[in-house]
Amino acid sequence: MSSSRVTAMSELLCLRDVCKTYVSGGTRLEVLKDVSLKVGEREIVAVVGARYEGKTTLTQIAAGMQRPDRGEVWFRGRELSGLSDGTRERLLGLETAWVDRNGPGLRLTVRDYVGLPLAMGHRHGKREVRKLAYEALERVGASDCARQPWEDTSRWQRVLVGLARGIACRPRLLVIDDLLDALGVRRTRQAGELLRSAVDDLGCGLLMSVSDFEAALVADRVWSFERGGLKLMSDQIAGEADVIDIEGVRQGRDRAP
Amino acid sequence: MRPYIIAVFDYDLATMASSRTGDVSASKVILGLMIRQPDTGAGVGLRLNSRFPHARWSRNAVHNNLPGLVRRGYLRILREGAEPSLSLYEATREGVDHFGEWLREPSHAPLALRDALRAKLELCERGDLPAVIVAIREERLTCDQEYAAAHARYKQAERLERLGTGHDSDWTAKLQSALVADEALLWGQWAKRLQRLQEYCEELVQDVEQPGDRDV
Repeated sequence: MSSSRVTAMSELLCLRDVCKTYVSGGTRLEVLKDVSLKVGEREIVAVVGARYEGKTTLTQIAAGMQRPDRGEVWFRGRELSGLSDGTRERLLGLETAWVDRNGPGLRLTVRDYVGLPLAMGHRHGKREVRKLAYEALERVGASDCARQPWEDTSRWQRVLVGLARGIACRPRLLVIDDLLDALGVRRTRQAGELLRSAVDDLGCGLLMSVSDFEAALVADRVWSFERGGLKLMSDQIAGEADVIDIEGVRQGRDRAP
Repeated sequence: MRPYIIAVFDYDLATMASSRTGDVSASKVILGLMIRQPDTGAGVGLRLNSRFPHARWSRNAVHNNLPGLVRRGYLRILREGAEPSLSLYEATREGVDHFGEWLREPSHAPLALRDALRAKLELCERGDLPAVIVAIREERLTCDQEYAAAHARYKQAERLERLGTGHDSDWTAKLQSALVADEALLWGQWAKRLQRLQEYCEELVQDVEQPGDRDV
């Protein structure tokens, strides 16, 4: 992307021709091939893919947790690969949240787990962190498990806790990795409604990877993995931002064999 | 005797078609639409195509089925029109009961796997595979378009549902939303299925062209 490229006011994240290959024991596994997508404010973008198709890699690159081998990752008009690790982490720690289905890895109460990113990134006091974490849990309807250890929560509670953790720091960009998998109709719909209302209220953008088309229904734009690349399946976002980056969308569409 | 034989034949067509292949006959759907609202042949034809846009009913579906439904006593003519398609019909008590029975009965069979693509793959020779891959790709593109259209309808239904009034009409909106979601899922999953099939066939072609060159 050239520096003179017009960036829409609403555009938060833009991935352009991102590639990622893992090398292990002499074997090369090309996970992402020339992946391009964008997420704007108040937009929900879903990427549908099966296991090992590169969903986690894509979401981690989008959230700045991994660097791509090639390609560009723009966040609010800044190209992230040009930033130092510290600057990138600071910027992303304040403005993005990444959520997956895995827990804290150590024994924490739900409230402390939800508050962890707040304590680390925003340097809030302990009392304020707990208050904000509790508010986020209340917002998703999971305040009743605030004092429970995360390990003792149910599958559905973990989804809610993950969502609460994502929105607790009021991010500009929320990135969710495979959290809404195999929830069933009612729960998937409920989670979708929570996400939609969070995105509308916070004015943030949401990029989520999902395993099936059911979880993707809530999205405004749906992409599907295809041999490491992305294929645009549906685009329900009308407006200026699409006109500006329609070339990128076309490239994504044309990349399908 | 002749009308009696025709009536039995019509009845068999309407019921057996659904039990053998898992799909539904046009006659059953027309009856259901007439129960919801008395209509002319032309009117029910429009509703048949708008409510079931992917069913690919024949052009004469309404014209062919209305006389049979009247003959079996499931519909009656309320008012004769200047031409047959303008006559106004309504469902009879027998029609409502018959439809209710069908609604409650369990489905006998899942959808028949009888698509042309499957038959082509089953019967193609090795040299035909590249051409079949092109056919798969084209069918995928159609599925992608249908998914996008269904997703658009889902988003529209979602917006309408969010504006819901809490009245009875919301129930219909919710049901519509669930049906459109189901449709989007079907197209999405069908597109994914074709993607897998295409990838498999392409690998097969490579294996045939370059035996031994591939890492397995």
